[in-house]
Amino acid sequence: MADTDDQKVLFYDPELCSGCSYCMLACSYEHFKVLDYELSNLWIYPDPQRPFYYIGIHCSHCDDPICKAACPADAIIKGEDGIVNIDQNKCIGCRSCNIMCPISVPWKNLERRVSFKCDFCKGDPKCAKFCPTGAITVKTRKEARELANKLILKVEAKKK
Amino acid sequence: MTEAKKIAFYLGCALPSAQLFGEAAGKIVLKDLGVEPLDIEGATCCPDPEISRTVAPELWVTMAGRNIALAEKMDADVFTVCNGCYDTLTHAYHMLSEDEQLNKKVNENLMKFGIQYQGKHRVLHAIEVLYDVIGLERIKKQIKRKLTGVRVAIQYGCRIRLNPKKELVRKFRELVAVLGCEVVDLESDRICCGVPMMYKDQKKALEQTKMRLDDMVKNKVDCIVLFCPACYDRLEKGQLELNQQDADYDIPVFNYFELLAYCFGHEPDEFGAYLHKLDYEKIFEKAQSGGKP
Amino acid sequence: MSEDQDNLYPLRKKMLKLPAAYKGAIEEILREGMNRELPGFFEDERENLDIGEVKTAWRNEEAQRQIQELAKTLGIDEKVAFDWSKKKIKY
Ligand code: SF4
Ligand code: SF4
Ligand code: SF4
Repeated sequence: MADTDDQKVLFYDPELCSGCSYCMLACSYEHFKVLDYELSNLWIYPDPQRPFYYIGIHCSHCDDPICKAACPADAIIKGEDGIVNIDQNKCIGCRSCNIMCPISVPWKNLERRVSFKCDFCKGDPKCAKFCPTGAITVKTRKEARELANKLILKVEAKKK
Repeated sequence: MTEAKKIAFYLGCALPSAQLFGEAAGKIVLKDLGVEPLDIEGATCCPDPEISRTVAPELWVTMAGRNIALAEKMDADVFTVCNGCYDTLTHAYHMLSEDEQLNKKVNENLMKFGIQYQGKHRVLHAIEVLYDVIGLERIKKQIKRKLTGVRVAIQYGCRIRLNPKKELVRKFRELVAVLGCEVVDLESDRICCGVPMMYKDQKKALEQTKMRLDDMVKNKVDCIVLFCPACYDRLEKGQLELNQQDADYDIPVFNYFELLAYCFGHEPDEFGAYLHKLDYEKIFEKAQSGGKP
Repeated sequence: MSEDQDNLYPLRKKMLKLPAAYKGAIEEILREGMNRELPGFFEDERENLDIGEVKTAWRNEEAQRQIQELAKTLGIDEKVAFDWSKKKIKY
């Protein structure tokens, strides 16, 4: 899909991440003005297979988002810039997107009774801005695809 | 890089107070190496690259510009040991040289106090000062005794692992190797010391610190060397806090300048090593006995 | 608004406050220009180690004044509701 190549997405590199989790705090502060790991739109987990490595889960703003397809209230929109967003005024809190997204990015805020997901911080991703190691960066979709392929090759080479 | 006869020592908040030994040792070492460290009159907090940059980004960049400009007034490059300060100052430096409008606005505010940001001098990390400006050869010539047989783990700190700055990791390692100690490379070198977690969840932070410390204990590390005062704080206080909960950690943490000053022949009391809260003497004793505990 | 007031008026909208960790740091910077205070103990130690008086903003009122004026010009004090007479963030 050549026409989406230039869209901006997040790219996470586990080789660089130190697990400091400040990205999660920055995300929760940006959206809810509190510091709370539970209210973040991305997650950093310890890698169960590699000690001292971490796994970052963040929205890919998919080309063909299944979260959007799953939403019965048409609350999920994919903008022209490629950003997939939930309109909280339309969301009915049914959790369909939470379940359908392959990596469960959308999550239901029990206090507000609607779902939230990464909104790319309206074009200025705070997680990337505050990441101290450069593990999360903003890349174009094309760059991100290439880098991700390289990462997979690296991991497979190590396994052999 | 070019020679420098004098250099502005940006201390940040921890070095001139709780971690005095870092400042004292740094000044001793630089003088031995023929570089005059200058104090920056009226320097403020850098300010920190997390809180201030989130809450008050305009003030953050203006204060950082002001700190660099104060060093420029003395016609000197500025350097810092703190990874956080380094991050803030280099970030502001790039922002101010790339964004003309921002530069104009910041200078407008600073000119009221007769300070002008020009951006003609460099912002350096202590690693760059020692490795690039002074050079390993000149350091080697000053070394009078070595840390033979001491097993040292290096805490690099998150911020110098940023992609283009990865060079700093290699340089730091070489600088430590010069001291004649055994550099212990650990898998856990890559993880965070726990400082950013302290903002929210002290238990999580302590777990993170414990993970790092346990790896060191497992690999029989004698001491930790670092530059970053934030990592210092966490790794030392972390051990004390864990010891209160029935653990028994005793891995002293040193600023790199201290170990260098020791190798240059200075006694630990000269640079205030007695301010350490963990048993630092055993390291120097071990070095003197040639590596026997 | 304090915790007990929250309990007293459960339906009242919660006021947005700076997270505790942020509040302290910003207060220190607006008050002292630095991120923490300098206890006298360290000043004595500085003398013992012969590294001169501290030159940073702690003991430099001019520097503190400059930072405070910058904060006022940039509207930071209003943004965080800083009370200049008490040198504290109000909420
Ligand atoms: S801020 Fe960066 S280094 Fe820290 S946990 Fe997030 S991705 Fe990893
Ligand atoms: S929430 Fe999941 S399905 Fe939806 S765009 Fe993001 S990654 Fe894709
Ligand atoms: S881009 Fe913004 S909303 Fe998305 S994960 Fe990062 S900080 Fe959160």
